[in-house]
Amino acid sequence: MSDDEHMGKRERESEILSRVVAGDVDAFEYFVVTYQKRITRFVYTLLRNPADADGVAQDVFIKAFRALPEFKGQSAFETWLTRIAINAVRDHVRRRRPVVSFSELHASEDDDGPDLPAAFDPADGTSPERDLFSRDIRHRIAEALVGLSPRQRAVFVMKHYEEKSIAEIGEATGLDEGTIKSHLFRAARKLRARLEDLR
Amino acid sequence: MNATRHLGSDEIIERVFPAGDRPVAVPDHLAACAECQERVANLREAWLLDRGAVSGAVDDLPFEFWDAQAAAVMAAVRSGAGEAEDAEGAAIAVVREFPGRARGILRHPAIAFSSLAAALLLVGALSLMRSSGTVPAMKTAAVTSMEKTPALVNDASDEELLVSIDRVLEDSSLAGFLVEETL
Repeated sequence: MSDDEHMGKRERESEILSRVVAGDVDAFEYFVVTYQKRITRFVYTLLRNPADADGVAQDVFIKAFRALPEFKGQSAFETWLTRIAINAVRDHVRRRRPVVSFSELHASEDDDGPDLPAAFDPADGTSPERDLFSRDIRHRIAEALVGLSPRQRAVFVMKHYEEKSIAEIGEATGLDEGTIKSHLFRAARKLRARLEDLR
Repeated sequence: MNATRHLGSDEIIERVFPAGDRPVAVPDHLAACAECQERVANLREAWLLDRGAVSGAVDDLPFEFWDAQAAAVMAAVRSGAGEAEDAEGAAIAVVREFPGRARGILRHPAIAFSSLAAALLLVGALSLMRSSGTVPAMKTAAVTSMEKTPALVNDASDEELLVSIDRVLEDSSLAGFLVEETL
C-alpha cells in the first residue's frame, strides 16, 4: 500500500471512528470486518488454540469499542488494535496458566489425533508422513512459542509471522529497538533448541 | 568439507530469524558448506511450514465463520452500548425521583423512626400470622414457574446464569482495563 493509500485509509477510518464515538454503533462493524481476519490470525498464532483465538479476537474488538473514546489517533487504528490484542492475549495467558502445561495438553491430545477442528487444521494431505511431520513441527514450534513470555511471543510473531518492521513492532508494543532485538534473539534461540534434532 | 569452522547455533538462528530489518550478509563458510546449508534450510523450512500452516488455517476458514464472529462482536457491542444508555437513563431517573425537597423529608429523624417502626410491626405481624397458619406462604411467579419447569431446562437456565455471571465478572475487569500506550 502506497503512502497516499495509507493516508486515505487513515482519514476514512478517522471519519468512521468519529461516527462511532458520536453514537453510530453500527459503523463499528467496518473495523470488525476489516481487521477480524488479521486479529484472529495474530491471536491464533500466539495461542495456538482455535476456540481461544476466536474468543480472544472477539474480546479484542469489544474492548476496542469500549476504549474508543481513549483512542487519540496517534497511531494507526490497526496498530492500536494490535496493542489491545497483545494485552488481551497476555491477560488470557495469565488466567489460563495454572491449569495444565502445554506439553501435558499435547501429550494427551496426540493420542487421539490432531487437536484442531478441520477448519483450523492445515495439514496439506499430500501424504500421511508429511502430515505427521508437519504436525510434529507445528507442535514443537507452538511449544517453543508458548514457553516464551507473552511479550517475547508477540514480538517474535509480529516480526517473523506478520513481517512487521522493528519500527512497527516498537509502535505496537512501546518497546525500544534494542529490547525488541533482544526479545527476538532469545525467542529464536528457544525455537532453535526445540528444533535442534531436525537436522 | 570447507576448511573454515561450521556455523554455530546462534549464527544459524541469525540466518533464519534475523533480528534486524536488513538482510544479513551470507558468511563465506555457508556459501561453500553443504552441511551448514542443510541446517539452515531445515530450520527455515520448519518455520515456513508453521507460518504457512497458521496463516492458511485462518485464511481458509469459511465466510460463515467470519460472519458469525462479526455478528457476535456486533451483538455484544450493541448490547453494551444499550446497557450503557440504560444505566445512564436509570441514573437520571433516580435523581428525578428524589428531588431536594423529598430528600429533606427523608432526612427528618421523626419520620425515619416512624417508618422503621411501622416496617418492623408489619414484619412481626406477618410472621405471627404465618406461624399460626392464617396466611399461607405465597409463591412468587418465579418459584411457580421454576417448579413447573423440567429440571433439564432449569439446568440450562443455571448454565445461562453462570455464563452471564462470567460475562459480568469479565466486564467488571474490563471496566478497569487500561488500554496501555505501552506494554
